[in-house]
Amino acid sequence: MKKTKHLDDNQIIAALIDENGLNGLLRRHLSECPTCRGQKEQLQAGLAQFGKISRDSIPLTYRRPELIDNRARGISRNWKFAPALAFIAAAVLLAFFLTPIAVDKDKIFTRKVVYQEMLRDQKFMAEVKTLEENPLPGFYVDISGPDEAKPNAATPGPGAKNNVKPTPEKNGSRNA
Amino acid sequence: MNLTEDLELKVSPGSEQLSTLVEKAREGDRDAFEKLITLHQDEIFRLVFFRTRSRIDSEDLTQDIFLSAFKYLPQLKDSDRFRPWLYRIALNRVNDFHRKNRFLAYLGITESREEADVADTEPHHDPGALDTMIRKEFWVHVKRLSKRFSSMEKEVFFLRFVDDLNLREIAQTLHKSESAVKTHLYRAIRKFKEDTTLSDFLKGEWQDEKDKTS
Repeated sequence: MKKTKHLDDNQIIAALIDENGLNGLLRRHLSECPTCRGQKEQLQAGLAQFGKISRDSIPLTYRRPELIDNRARGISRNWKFAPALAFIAAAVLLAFFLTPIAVDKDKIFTRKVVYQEMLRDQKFMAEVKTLEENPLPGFYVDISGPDEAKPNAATPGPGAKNNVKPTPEKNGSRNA
Repeated sequence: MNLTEDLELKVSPGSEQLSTLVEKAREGDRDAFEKLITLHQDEIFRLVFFRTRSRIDSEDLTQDIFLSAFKYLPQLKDSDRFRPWLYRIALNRVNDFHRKNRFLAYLGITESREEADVADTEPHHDPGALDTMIRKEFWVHVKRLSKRFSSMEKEVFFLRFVDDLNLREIAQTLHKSESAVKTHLYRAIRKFKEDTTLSDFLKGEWQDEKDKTS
């Protein structure tokens, strides 16, 4: 009976990945030969050990994931309408400022203020004019007559009728 | 018996009941999705932690992965492919995380993962000092082995032996043919076998385990 050669390293690896991928002769040899089977099992055990230590090195306790996205998704759902809402708000504002009603309101308001100011100015100017024309109060006008109402240095004061001479001011008398 | 164990008895991955849960969740049933989370949270957290080695980042990413899954579940056509689909999301998130970290490290905003690794390999479930040392040594071996792998070899090898996915699931997760997966796995195992330091380390560990059990 012809003896099959042992499997080489590559064939052992191939057998480990997918034993059905080996040809019938090699597969039969592997099932019968303790040396080859031992090699395969050793490699398999090494890989299993690698996986086991890897898994054991993972923390046992950790923060569990949860579907907390209810809130987040709610917000995102609301935000989906944000551009539309912003557009509507902008349109409303624009309409408010540009419609004729708004312009008229503005004009009426401005005119009212201007008229009030004009009236106030007119009243003020009339008072100024009256003062210019009649600088003395009514009492003095009655005494001196309308022609002498204008103040003048040469015009005698109320004491002139009683021969009262005006006293000249002494130099520095105010300072003394 | 906790909820996970209870659910696992009733709904083993790949069973009809799992498909039903996925169908219900796809129609917006939150309870069904909560059950799916309970069934898969440990394996997804394990996948993420093994690739990030940071508990906080892993927790955040796991949360993120399940939220994405819930959001995009209606797009899943075949409910039988839920597990590979979930793993695909997880791997994408982990890759995004690494990409972002590399960019931030490049800008000098965060420290590189090489430095961060040391802190996060600290014990997580109160092992003894010897156990801690063994685990630290193990991570050193893993890092060295990872450097020898190509990116695809690394993914295939870890999905097969750490995450315990079968060849079909790996193919579906990585969107590769089964023969391509076999080729990458073959190369990865050869590199693993050539790493005599790791083999010796594992032999010692394995022997200890056998001594404990006998």
